[in-house]
This record gives sequence, structure tokens and C-alpha cells, in this order.
Amino acid sequence: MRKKLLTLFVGLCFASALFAEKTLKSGFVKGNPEIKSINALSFGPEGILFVGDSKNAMVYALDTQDEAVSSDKPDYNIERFDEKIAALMGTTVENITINDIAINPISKNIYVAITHSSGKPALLKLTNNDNFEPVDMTNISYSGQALDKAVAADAKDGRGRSLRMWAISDLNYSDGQVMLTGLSNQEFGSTFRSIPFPFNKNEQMSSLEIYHAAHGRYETDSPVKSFTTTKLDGKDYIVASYTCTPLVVFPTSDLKPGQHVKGRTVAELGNWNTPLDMIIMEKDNESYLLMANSARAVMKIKLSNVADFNGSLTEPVEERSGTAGVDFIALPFVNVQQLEKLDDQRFVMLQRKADGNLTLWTSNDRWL
Amino acid sequence: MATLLYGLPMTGGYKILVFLFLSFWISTIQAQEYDFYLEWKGEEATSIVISEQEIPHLNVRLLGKAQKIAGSVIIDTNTCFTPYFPFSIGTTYQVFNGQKLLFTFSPDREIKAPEVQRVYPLAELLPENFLKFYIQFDQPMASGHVYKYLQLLEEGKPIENALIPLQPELWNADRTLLTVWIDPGRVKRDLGPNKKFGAVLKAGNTYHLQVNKGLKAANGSTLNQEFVKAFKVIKRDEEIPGIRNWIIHAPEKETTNPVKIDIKEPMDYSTQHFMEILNNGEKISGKYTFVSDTSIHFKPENVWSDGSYVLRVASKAEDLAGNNFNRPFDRDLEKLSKVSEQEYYEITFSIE
Repeated sequence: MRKKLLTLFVGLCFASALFAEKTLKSGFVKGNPEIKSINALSFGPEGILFVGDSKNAMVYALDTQDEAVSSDKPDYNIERFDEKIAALMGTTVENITINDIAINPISKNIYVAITHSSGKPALLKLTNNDNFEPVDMTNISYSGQALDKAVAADAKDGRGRSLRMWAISDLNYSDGQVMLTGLSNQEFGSTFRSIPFPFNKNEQMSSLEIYHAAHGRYETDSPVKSFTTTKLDGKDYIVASYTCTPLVVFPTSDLKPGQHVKGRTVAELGNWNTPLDMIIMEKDNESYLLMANSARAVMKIKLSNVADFNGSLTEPVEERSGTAGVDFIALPFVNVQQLEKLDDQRFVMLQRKADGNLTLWTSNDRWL
Repeated sequence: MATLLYGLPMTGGYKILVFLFLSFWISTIQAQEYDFYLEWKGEEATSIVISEQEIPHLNVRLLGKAQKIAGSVIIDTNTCFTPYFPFSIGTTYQVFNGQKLLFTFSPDREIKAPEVQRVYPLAELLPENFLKFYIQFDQPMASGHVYKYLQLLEEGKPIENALIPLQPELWNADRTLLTVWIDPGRVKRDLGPNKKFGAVLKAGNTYHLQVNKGLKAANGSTLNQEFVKAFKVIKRDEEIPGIRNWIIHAPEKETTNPVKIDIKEPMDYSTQHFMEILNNGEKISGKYTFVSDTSIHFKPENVWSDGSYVLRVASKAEDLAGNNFNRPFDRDLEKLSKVSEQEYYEITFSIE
């Protein structure tokens, strides 16, 4: 009898292990990841929020447990966005920096990363369309991955901190990979990192040096400021924008550890301008890249034009703040700081309006 | 420990006078004093503790705002509120029990105003294609709005769009050192702005990098003295640097005197962070000092033993124009020789 019971018990254990839901969060632990900075956010599946932490040179995956499906989320429209956040955090707008926003593709809830002038970060969740609450990051289910052993091996200051900083400027999750790009405070290079997810500490990440050769005779390294992933002619591509605004594409398959990847410059989108954010929207079987800029309006670029644009730009742009390469349309949205896709038809913009009011509002595919 | 005060701030006009009078009258009837103190961590007011009071619905707000400040409340014999971010010095807060105003307070502490200690490079002659400054502050600074306070002037006149306002701003870990780039679009040959307007800097002219008053430190104080770095511009530097002509002045054994590295071409401030000194393959612990753009000292933690040492410099180290040991900042594809893939370069020296 005892033997039978034991067999039954072992059988049950086996069956439960067999049928246990294997999720991307299986390796997560509960606790305090001790996040020191939040430079970039991006949602993956299962309500997992990826957080790029430059100070710790880490990327974290946080389980937001925010998985209630929302299919009819009303339009967001929040005026004085920064003032509301500042009041919640007990300070004034000049003491707050909004680093990034991300929308949970399941719940459609908005998450906002901010930094206080003291250097402390906070992650806020927007609920009920007009109400923020801080996400408790001291007791959360998470997983983390150190960004680069090379950074850790660098010169340290007296308190053991790396003297080189790699400020994460953008982060995206796509198809089992967390991709990051950043700016170094010491060398003018471009390194792009791609890390398999779920994180596996034994697994090597790809770290690539990227440069573009596009402007007449000269080629240079240049940091990628903002990027997104897409398919062009059925192949996976990374669309990246450099600090001095050339738009560059390269196939994801080129990302191999330790390689120098040369981007194909498809457009120079005007000078004295830095790209801030980009998203991809689709309408009527066409994909469009929307890009927010520091000194120009939001640009709309048809991705089929990018795919059709063969070769690289070889002629330098002659006109003052001139542009070249694939066509773009300037949408009537200026001073847009953040862009996020809300659903297949709508996107959200954080825009400094003409009256100085920072507003988070929703637009839609009628502009596509 | 401080005692306080029952108050209500108001703005403008006759109605307010009446309201203030009524408030004062009510306060004389209901006046209750609250003993409270602020808990400080360095220059940060991290919590407010109301002594010997249980306040079940405690909430704190900015003066004049309905929004309750995010934070946690602990009630035992005292009631303690810890805001998510520290209270700001000089800002007025209101303490409520539910919707009932209890008292106001304003954290006050003498805080040191920040100063710019120096700007790297220290040289007063910089090439036309010079790329980046490092601004050294004496204390951690606030981030997010720094470019409003930076300006580059040519012969006394501000140059528009000379510095690239990068977000995230490029601070070191404790936000005492800021890296600022001259717009690379104007430094790189053949990019639109460079082709049309040439480089930001022109040989023969005099420039000033100005850090203006008002820039905030992390403790809330502001820079109250403008800092100016003057420099003159010389011809473009398109040569890659090398360490072959560097001279090493080795110290004597059994001392902790620094090894002095004389660099023949001015190098970027970060060069010291790309250096290692090795003995039999083992890295020597110690501290680098950037004495000048052409001189770096390394002081070991322990006394030197006699023997052979290697100074290893990663090829990523850059000169003032962003040329590194393997490639110039922008490569001329018509003249391009193969870019070296060497990871580092070395010089051997002896200590006797």
C-alpha cells in the first residue's frame, strides 16, 4: 500500500511538473532588485516590463502583474502631465525628469520612468486615466542581467564604481531578444547590445560596434539614439537613428558578437536635430515609421520606401538643414518628446504644447 | 525638535483677508500644537515625524495642491511619513489628517552651493575638430536640465546649436562630472551642417565655454558663480595618436611615488581610465591623476617592487579630436588603409 501511495505521489509530482505552466517568468525571484536608475522602458509579453539601469549597468525584467486585458481603453488626455507627477512626488517640475514612457500591450496601462534631482528614480503607473501611483520596486518579482563584463572590468573610482558610464538611450524587446543602445560618457562610439530573454547568466550577449558610411567620402562611428525593429520584405531589420539624425537600417541577422556592423543610411532627416523616439504603426497593409525629434516635427516614413531604397546615400546634403533619401512627411506635431503605440489604431504622444503645457494625448491612424 | 504652528496660506484680494481672519479665529478656538521633527540623511530631509500623536489619516501635500504626496506612513506612538523622494529644501508642505489641515512646514538647512572646479581639457589651444568637454563639479548635480545653462561663445558671441543637448545627459556615476559634446554633425566632414557651415570651431578664433548661474545641484542649491573656460583654436587634427613616443618616468622601488607618464600629444581626460599597469600580467592597484592633457600620474596602493612593468592603454583612448589609436574620428574612404583591430598598446618600463 505504501508503495502504491509512493508511486501515486511520484506520478502526481511528475504530472504537475509536466503540466506546470512554463512562462517567461519561471526564473524570476521576488525581492528588491535595487534599481538605481531607470533610463529606458519597454514591455515584453506576459506583462513583463524591461528596465534599463545605466548606473547599475543592468537590464531588469519586472513582473508588473498587470495582465488584465483591456480592449476598449479610452483615449488618454492628461494636461500638465509633469506638474501632476511633480505634485505627487512632493516637488516642482524643475526637479523631475521624465525619462521614458511605456504602454503595457495587454492592459494598455501607461508606465512612466522619472528621475528626481537627487538622482533617485521612480516608476509610476497611470491608473484611471488621470491618477499616478508609484510601483513598489522594493518587493517585486524580477530577473536581471548585467550588461557587459567589459564595463565591470573597467577602471573604478575609490568606491568601486566604474568610471565609464554607458547611458542607455533606448531599449526594445523583440522576439526573445532585449536590445539596448546607449551613449558612453568617454568615447564617441556606438555599441548595440542584444541579450536573449529569459536571461541566462551563462549565455553571452551580442555586443556590436556600429558605424555608417554614407556621407560622401567619410565614415564614422556614431551613437544610436533611438531604434525600433521591423520587417522589410519579410526580413527582420533594425531601424536606428543616430544622434545627428541619419536614419540607418541593418538586418537583425547581421548582429553577431564582436562584429562591426555597417548600417545602410537611407535618409538624412535634417540637421541641428536629435531623434527622440520612434514607433511603427500599420494601416491598410502598409507600415509607417513615426519619429519624434528635438527640433523638428514628428516625421512619418513609409517603410516600403525604406525597403525599396537600395544602397546608401552617397551624396552629402547641401541645403541648410536639408534632407535626403527616402521621403518623409512632417506631421503637424512639434515638440513631441515621447511616442508610444497604444493599439493597432492609436498612438500616444507626450507633447509640449505651444502654451508650454506638457500634455499626454492620444492620436490615431487617420494620420497614416 | 520644533513646535508648530497652525496656518493656512492664501493668495490675493479682499476675500482672502476675510478668510485669513476666519482661519485665525477658528485656530484660536481649535488650536492644537504639533511637535514634529524632520529626519535628515546628509542634506536630504527624508521623513517627518510627529511626536506622540497617532494621526490615522495622515497625508502631506505641497502648499496649495490637492494631490497627496506619494510615500509611506508608520503609526506607533509617533506618526512618521516618509515621502518617496526627499522633501525639497525651502519648499512649503502641508500636513493633513484626512482633509483637515494640521500644520505647515518647510525643510530648512544650510546647503553648500555647487562650484565648477575645472573643465577638461585643461589646454588653452584646441584643434578645430575638438569634440568633447568634461565639466568637473565639487558635488553631485541635478540632472535633466543642464543644457539650459551651457553656452559656447565665439569672439564673445553665443554660437547657436554648438553643443548637442543629449538625453540622457552624460554624467558619471555620482553626477559630479558631465561630458558635453560639440555637435558631431558639424565636426564630421561631409555631414550636412559641416559641409554647409564648416566646423563649429575655426582656427585662429577665441572661444569661451560658459557654465551659467542657476544650474542646480542634487541638494537643491544652485551655481551662484558663472564659470568660463577660454581657449583658442588651432588647425584640425586628423592624425591617430600613438604611445610610441610617450615617456615614462619610473619611481624608485620600495616607495609609493607615482609613475609619471608624459604624453607627447594632448589626450582626452578619459585616457587615464583606459590605462592599466601590469607586473607579470597582474594589474597593479592604485590611483590615476590627470595632471594635464599631456601628463598622467599613477600612484600605487602598495610600494613598488623592482622588476619589469607594462603600461597598457586600450586602443579606445582618444585624443582631443576623437581620433583613437586604431582609427581617426572620421575615416577618408578614398585614402583608407586597413583599420587596426588591436585591442591595446603597451610600453615596458623598469623599476629599480
